[in-house]
Amino acid sequence: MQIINLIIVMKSHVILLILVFMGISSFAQQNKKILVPKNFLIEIIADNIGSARHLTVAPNGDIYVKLNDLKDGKGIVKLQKNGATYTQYYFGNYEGTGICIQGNYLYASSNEAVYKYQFDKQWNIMNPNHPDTIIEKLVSEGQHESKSLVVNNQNEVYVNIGAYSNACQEQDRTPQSKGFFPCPILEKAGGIWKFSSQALHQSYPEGDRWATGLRNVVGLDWNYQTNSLFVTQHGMDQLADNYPQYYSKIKSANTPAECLYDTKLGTNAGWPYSYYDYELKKIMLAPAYGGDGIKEYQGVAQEPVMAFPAHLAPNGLLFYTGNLFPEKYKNGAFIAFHGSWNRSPEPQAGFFVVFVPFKDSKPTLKDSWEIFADGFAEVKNPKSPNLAKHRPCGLAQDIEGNLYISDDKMGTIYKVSYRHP
Amino acid sequence: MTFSKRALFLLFLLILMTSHLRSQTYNKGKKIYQEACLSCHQEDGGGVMNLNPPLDGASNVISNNTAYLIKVVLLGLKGKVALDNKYYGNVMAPHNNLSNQEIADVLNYIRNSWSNKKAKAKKILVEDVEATRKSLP
Ligand code: HEC
Repeated sequence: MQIINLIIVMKSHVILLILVFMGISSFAQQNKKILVPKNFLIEIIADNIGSARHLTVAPNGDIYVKLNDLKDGKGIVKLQKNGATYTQYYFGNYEGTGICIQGNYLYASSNEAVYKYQFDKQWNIMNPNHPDTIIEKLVSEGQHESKSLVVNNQNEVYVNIGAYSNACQEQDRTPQSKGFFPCPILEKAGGIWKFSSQALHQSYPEGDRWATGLRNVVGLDWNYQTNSLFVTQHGMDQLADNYPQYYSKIKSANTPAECLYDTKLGTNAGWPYSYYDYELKKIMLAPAYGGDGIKEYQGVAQEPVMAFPAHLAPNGLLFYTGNLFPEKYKNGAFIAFHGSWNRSPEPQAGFFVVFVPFKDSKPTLKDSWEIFADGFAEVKNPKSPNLAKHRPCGLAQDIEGNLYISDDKMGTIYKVSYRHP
Repeated sequence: MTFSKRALFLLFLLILMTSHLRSQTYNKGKKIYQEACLSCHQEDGGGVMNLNPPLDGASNVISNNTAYLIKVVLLGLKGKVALDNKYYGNVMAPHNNLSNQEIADVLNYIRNSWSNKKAKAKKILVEDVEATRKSLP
């Protein structure tokens, strides 16, 4: 009897220990559901942390993840590295997408503002509950409200301010409705704004419109090879819903392209007047402005550096600067695609991470990109995005050159490493 | 054929006809859904997280406040509104180009599809849509 009691007590202790251990960290293990190239290893390092959007890694290995929805009232998760495991801490009382580390500072965005936190020498945040507000009062009207951001080593902050509209129609998303001309949204949105990382309480008067004609950018990264800002734009939705006389449902499932742009001061990517046809590889006049699927655009719009299939939602962009992965990956672009929702009656697609090889600061080949990590959806050809189990969103790299991928559906964080054969 | 047998046969015919009619209006509603609503609310009525609300399992969709549903279709819906305690970033355009009959059909379709079937929500009539449309400024 006593022995049995002892065993039960011991068992419960073991279970308790396991529970405590699981509470502290997620158990790192090779993930067999996600396919990555040979000699790469992908493992889950955290799970169910909330709607994990963008993420960034401090030099000591701690990971900071921005949450789209508050979890227990908090909007940032710190995954504190303890050897091979992570302890979770939550702080920040606002929702949002953007997060990045530059120098001794962490920058994070709500849907209207950008906040700045300071690290101490041990890489602990000194002011978790009292960040400085460096940018505020940005347009946030529901649609495309996330403020992705990147800070480069020249004290420049680049923030996406998405257009609160699909195609700048007089009646948004309404069949046959004409486009406003000029599109008034472009004054305060539909582009990238540049600010200083050193000033407080900046808004439109203190910022510069760096690039315009960008409907909604979620992925962006500074490229230190070209010294320019690369962005991934989400193209227009619902061409066939709104202009069935010009676009079949199949055409609308496959166009407009999702585009990667290399932006300089003054870049105009053409939204809402034009769009990039994925199949024709041409800049076309948008139907809200007289386009018919055949007429090319005669105005000014920059060519994309790379075009991807329609509606796949490129949400994360990262130029790989590490030395861990093979040479081919150096200075190339990883892009996390969130996966589509408006390709029906075609199946939804694009729940994957893509790699674009770069050479001499340009994609190696014009239309050359490859799927790097696939299988996040865990179902083949889902009819609806709800059937996808995980949806890739953000990308980050640590100083050793490991790659991290966030998933905002299940709150899973993946680590990709490489074993030299 | 005896009287009772004949009555039974007629009754059977009647049931067959009404169920046929019912499935016909259901299919009409489904067709409108596929044309005008599916791209956002999805085939399974599950919506798209953060963008378009689910209609499957939505408390408003199965409620008796049918005027609300008719208004959403006629006027569209946008702005920060909590739907079953969640917010959605996309906008819904007015669908006032649909006829009263089409609006009744599509709403009856979403009220009687997916898990909403269980709710046995009351039928929306063409007259209800007509009355609501007239009540709008
Ligand atoms: C462009 C995408 C889009 C299309 C097309 C669309 N909807 Fe919606 N619908 C939405 C969005 C977005 C909302 C929520 C708006 C908000 O929260 O401000 C919504 C809300 C609703 C609601 C309210 C749900 C609730 O819980 O209260 C109903 C009902 C509805 N839609 C039905 C329909 C029907 C029926 C159709 C087709 C006739 C349709 N929708 C077409 C995007 C769309």
